[in-house]
Amino acid sequence: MFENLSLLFFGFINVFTFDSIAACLFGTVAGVFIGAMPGIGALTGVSVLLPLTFAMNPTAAIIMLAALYYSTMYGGSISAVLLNIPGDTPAICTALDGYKLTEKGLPGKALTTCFMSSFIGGTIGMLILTMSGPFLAQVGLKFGSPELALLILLAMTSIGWLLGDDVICGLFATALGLLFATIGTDQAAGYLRFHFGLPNLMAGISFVPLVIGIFGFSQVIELVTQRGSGERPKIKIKLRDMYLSWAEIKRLLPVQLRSGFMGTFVGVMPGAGGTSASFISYIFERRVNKLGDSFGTGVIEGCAAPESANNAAAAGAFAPLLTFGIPGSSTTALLLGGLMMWGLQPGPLLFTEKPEFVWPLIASFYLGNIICLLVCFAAIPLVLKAVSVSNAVLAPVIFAICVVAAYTTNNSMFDVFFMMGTGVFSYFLKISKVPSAPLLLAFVLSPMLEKYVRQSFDMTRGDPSIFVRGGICWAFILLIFGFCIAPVVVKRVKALRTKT
Amino acid sequence: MNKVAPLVCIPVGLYWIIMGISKYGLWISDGPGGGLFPVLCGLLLIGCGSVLLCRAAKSKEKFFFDRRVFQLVASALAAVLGIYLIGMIPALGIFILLWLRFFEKQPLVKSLAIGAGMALFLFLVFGIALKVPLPLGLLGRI
Amino acid sequence: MKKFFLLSLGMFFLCGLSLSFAGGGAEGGSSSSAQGGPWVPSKDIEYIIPASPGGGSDLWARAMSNAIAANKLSTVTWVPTNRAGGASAVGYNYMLSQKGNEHVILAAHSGAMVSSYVAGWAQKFEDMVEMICILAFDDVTLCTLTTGPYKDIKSLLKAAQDKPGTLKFGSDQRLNSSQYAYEMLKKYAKADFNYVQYDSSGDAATALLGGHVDVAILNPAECLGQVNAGTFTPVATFATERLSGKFSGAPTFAEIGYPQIVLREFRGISATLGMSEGAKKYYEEMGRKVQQTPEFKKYLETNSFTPVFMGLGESQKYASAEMQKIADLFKEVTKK
Repeated sequence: MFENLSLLFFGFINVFTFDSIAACLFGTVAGVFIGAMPGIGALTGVSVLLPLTFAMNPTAAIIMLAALYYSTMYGGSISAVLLNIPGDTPAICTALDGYKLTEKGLPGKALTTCFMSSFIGGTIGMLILTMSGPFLAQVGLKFGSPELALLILLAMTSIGWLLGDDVICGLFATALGLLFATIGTDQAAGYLRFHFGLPNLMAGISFVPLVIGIFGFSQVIELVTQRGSGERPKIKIKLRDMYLSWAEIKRLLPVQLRSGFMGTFVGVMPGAGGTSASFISYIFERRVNKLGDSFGTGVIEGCAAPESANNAAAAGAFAPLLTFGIPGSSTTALLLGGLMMWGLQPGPLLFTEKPEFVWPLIASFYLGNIICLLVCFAAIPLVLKAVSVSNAVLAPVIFAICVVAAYTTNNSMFDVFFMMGTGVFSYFLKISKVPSAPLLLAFVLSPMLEKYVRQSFDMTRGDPSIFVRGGICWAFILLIFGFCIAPVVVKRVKALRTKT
Repeated sequence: MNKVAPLVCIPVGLYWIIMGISKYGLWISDGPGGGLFPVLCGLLLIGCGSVLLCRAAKSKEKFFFDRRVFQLVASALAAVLGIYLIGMIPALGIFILLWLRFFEKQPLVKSLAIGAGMALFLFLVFGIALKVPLPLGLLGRI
Repeated sequence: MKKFFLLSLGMFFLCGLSLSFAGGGAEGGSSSSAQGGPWVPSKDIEYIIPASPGGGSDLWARAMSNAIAANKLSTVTWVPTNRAGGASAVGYNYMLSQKGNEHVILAAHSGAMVSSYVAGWAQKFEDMVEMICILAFDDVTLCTLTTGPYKDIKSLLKAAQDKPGTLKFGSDQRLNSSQYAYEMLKKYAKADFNYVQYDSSGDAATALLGGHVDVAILNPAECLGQVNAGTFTPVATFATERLSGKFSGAPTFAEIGYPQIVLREFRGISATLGMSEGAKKYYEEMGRKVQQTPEFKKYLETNSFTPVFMGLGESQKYASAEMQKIADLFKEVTKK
């Protein structure tokens, strides 16, 4: 561990070169901007900038792209909080509470919470990465398909907590999420299903146009219909409001720490990324926090949990990438491709053979994280102006961004129409009081569940005993039962108490 | 409206179940087949759909349709179709201009500034910086 | 006032027009095909990647487009564009929709062609694209964990023959060349593994690293880092000859007595249907030239590709024959 610290120190010495700092600065600023633009996220950003880096030296190149990757997690919360449009998919949960805070007239406070949580989550992830990256990556490898299937199942049983007041409406939304998720290539055998002959549906429904439709376009409709009816009061924004009180910081700190640890761990696991990390920690926090019941109505804890988790996950994803040369998410897969292009061979030898590459990179994370925080805080007064723009102007402008962003996902007009369709659809869902969170959760998690369950059965030719093959499995099974039974028990106890 | 969604969802759920069982298979080669999740989804859809339908039948709540929603969606659709004609950036710029001028009754100069500004912004960000092959429409072919 | 409005509307239209031309401006330029002489592209070439960023096809197309730009082989840019999904179906259908467009080409990989034959696509690959050239073989190998119980192919096959249905065979999606390799092992070597499907070969390698599968089928590029570090042992190759470098220890299947077991994945360039002869010749020539650039050579070498050149006609014939062979075996398997 101390050896790691001295290596990190060596990394810091090396990172203070003009190239590296310039790369880091450019990466973070671009990342915050790209993150804040709805529809384009880390993946698009990295794939666009990748070709530009071939002429750079590999260390500066990866510092830039890595900075871009984790700083999109910062940027994503800006548009989620201010406009109710998540800038990138990991910011979906941030929008649930963040926008409610904006409606309450506290956008500054929400943003401060987000940035602070991002910073703390990211720092936790980086510290864990520095201290025990290779060890953590080893633990992550222990998670095979059956373990991952049970983990997803555990998260899915928690949908109950997201359903809202009306259970049937919540379940209905879950079913719709499942419906969207089953379209495309089936996770079990690779056959196409429910594509109705449309090539665009063969790949399944893209997540980004769906999210833009559900949040962005339906928001436009809402802005237009609210106009004149005076539902949204003009918010007077004072910069003073952006500061958190000492009591609030104390309230947030445990949330950020919990989510940071959890996010790092989810980020390390194969196949999971920032989006799953933020969902899982949001659900978890909702369950354990004292204010859990008021999540979704605009509490700062609801912003802190997902933001801390997704930044931690971005750092955690580097553990398997640097230790074994295996990607934890699609963005890190792209970075892996970049490593090869720069003439580096990602693999278990990278840490030992190329310390002059790995440690400056890790050191740059700390630097980049601080730059991100400064950039974001400096940007708060500027971006808050967006809220003071009148709805009349905001609506068509957001619409234009939605269209371009939906198109950009796959360079396809189909997604634009799909985005508008889901937008109208989800507007009607909204006025029928059907919540959108279960829909998105089911859409993200159910294909993963289907895939992992299939892989588990593949391994044993249909023998379900694989689901109890080890300690991790049993722990998850106990948690699932505990989580399912707990609410019933709590209800009983409460009922007994009121009787006596 | 409250009846429409369940009424659509029940046949869709039924179709998902039928296809799931007959074509994609519940259990194939010793594991869950491609039809298992569609069937689960179909069952859930039909279940929730029928409960919502019963509820909607009982409630006397009148659904009120906002004319502005229709106006917005129609003009948005026109703008998107305009993309095929004059390309994405100009179509969206003109949409913003016309919407602000005629629907929101904003001053002309302001509408013009916002429309052109947005078009320029989107073009610089997506067209130049991100190198997205934005559709140019029929005009682009010339 | 009204006049002013019309005027500004007109000006705005002009603005928009110039914008759309500015967008097209980069692609504009004179087309010299009309002036006689060999066909040359008149605007940027859309290089379709039918897979997501970071995968094998993505790296292939980007390496090629970089090599072309670095050596100034072309006056225009080859712009890599990802159209992923549906086991490459989305990319191929896009090619079909661009029929006759001479500025759209595709990064061809044999895996996608297999899918077009066996995964229930409406058309086979020949009905959607035309092969221009094949530039490299991307040979597949079987890898095991160095610390695991199976150190060579014989002990692995023996275990699978003796205890059918217990060993786990990590692989990418079904209905692909990986499943073909699996079916061949079953048919000719009577080795009965459990086929475990992952999203990509990368995920299969991760599963092997975690010890969740006993053997994984991987391209050299996908396991080079692990093989160099000694965590993975390549136990056999599906190629006709042994591979070079660290992979030279892995025998071919012919060496251990199964000459029927051969699978060579290949990569190259495909074009849209209905392209003129001149354009096809141009792309064939570009393929030949790019293969000789130092950048692309280095890329082929680091990824343990075997360079080869099959041009117009020949490549199409080769691809079709290979696919027919694979489709026949799949038919045999599904009949049972």
